[in-house]
Amino acid sequence: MRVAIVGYSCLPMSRDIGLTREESVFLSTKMALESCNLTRSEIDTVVSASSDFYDGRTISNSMLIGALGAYLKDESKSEEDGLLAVIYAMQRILSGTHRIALVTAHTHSSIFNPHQISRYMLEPLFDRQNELLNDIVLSALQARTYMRKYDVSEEDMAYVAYKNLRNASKNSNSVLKVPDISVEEILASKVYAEPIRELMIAPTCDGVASVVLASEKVAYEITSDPIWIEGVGVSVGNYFRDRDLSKLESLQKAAKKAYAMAGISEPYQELDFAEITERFAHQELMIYEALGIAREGKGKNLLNNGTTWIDGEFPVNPSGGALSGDAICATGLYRLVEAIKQIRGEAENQISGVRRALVHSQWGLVAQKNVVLIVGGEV
Amino acid sequence: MVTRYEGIPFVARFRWSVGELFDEFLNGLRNAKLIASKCSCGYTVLPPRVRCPKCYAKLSRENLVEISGKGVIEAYTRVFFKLDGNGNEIWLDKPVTLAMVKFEGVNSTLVLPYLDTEISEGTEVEVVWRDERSGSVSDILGVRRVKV
Repeated sequence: MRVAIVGYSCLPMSRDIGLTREESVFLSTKMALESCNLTRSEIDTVVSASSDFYDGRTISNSMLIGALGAYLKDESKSEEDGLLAVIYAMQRILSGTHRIALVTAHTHSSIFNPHQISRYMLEPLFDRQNELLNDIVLSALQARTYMRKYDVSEEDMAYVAYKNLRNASKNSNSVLKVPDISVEEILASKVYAEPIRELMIAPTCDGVASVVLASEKVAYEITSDPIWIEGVGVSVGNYFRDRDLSKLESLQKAAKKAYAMAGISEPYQELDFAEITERFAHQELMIYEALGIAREGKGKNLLNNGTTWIDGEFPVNPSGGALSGDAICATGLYRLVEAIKQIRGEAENQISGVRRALVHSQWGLVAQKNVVLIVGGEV
Repeated sequence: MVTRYEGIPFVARFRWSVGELFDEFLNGLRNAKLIASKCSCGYTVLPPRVRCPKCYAKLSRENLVEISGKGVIEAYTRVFFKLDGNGNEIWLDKPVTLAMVKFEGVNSTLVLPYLDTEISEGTEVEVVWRDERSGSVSDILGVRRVKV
């Protein structure tokens, strides 16, 4: 049995969405159901993704049950990224006990600065005692490790941001709209921790996104254009002090699992594009390598020779990626929504003739956990 | 722009048990010694842990080893900001250099302030101790270049 995505929605990301959590989750849920002409009563199970720390309340889904249309339904929450909620919902359908699932993920970064919260991911007895440590500083150490090993420059990093921000200027969902930005301006933006500059950091923001999943049996009753989840893979690595920061080993593993499930042996040939979560510019290059579309240390070549640009052989982040807006728990779903739109030919920054995509999200300090989905339209 | 409710300040004073091996690490700091745990699989972690992060074996007092306090810089960064606890960015008057150090005989890394100016990856460093030590992690001031 296969599982299809039959509906989707997202609200435009914003520094301050101006809506309560409840209202914005309600709107996204309603739009997702309308996108596939389903009513609340037809949804069997609801899985949401949000985080207690980011929302500033324990059981962050508690007051969202109504907004999700989930009263007296089978409902649960998956902490962390929304793609994990998709996998969870998919498993519930594959178990045979549910036919249709709603998945919604949200974070409102305007509630509290997510970088502050990153300090609470640190090992508390030693690392958290260092008041200078946080996700941005650790990403600087990761960038240095990677750049030194493979001779990657700050210009290469700025070029990642340049590519993604150019794509983002065509995406009405993105929060950072700087269509005329230059590489020089990115390299002149404020330094947080060398070599990480302001425009190389995913801008945290408010966002909500949803997808509706259905079993193969009912998918065609709902839509003539289902998007199939062909493969999934999840893997988590060691804490940052116990692993080699020059590579993303857990992403290699997650991608391998997803490729095996989807029957992919040559990802570069068999996939048409990717939507990935690069929380910091250098990570995009590391992700190319972990996904096996570039050889070890050669990620920058794919960027510099135009391969991953919108008109290249293997476009990456036609939406603008996380560097154009990062709604934390919802970021994986924004990536997925863009992939669905591209495959259906509904995207604003459309790549022509694409059928199969890789969708990636990450969680934890310097990409400790990685999630990969392979999604595709009809063959 | 909608009204923002600031909420009731949430101050949580967490009281974690540090475990017996970390206790030995803290006692070591008081005597200007670095104590790590060395697993029979060969993996050595600093500060010590009760489970080997590589092979999951249980580690006990017999696994504790004293290490030299000398190491090599694997990566470094000059940091220009910090977060004030309430989510505000505080820009430092002067950037602080943090170094990711691999100590002799240790497999894990530690991020510590670098107290000299000239720096590169591969620089050999040693721990600089506070004179008045209390058995807490602040007994380590940072690392500095080993004089040759």
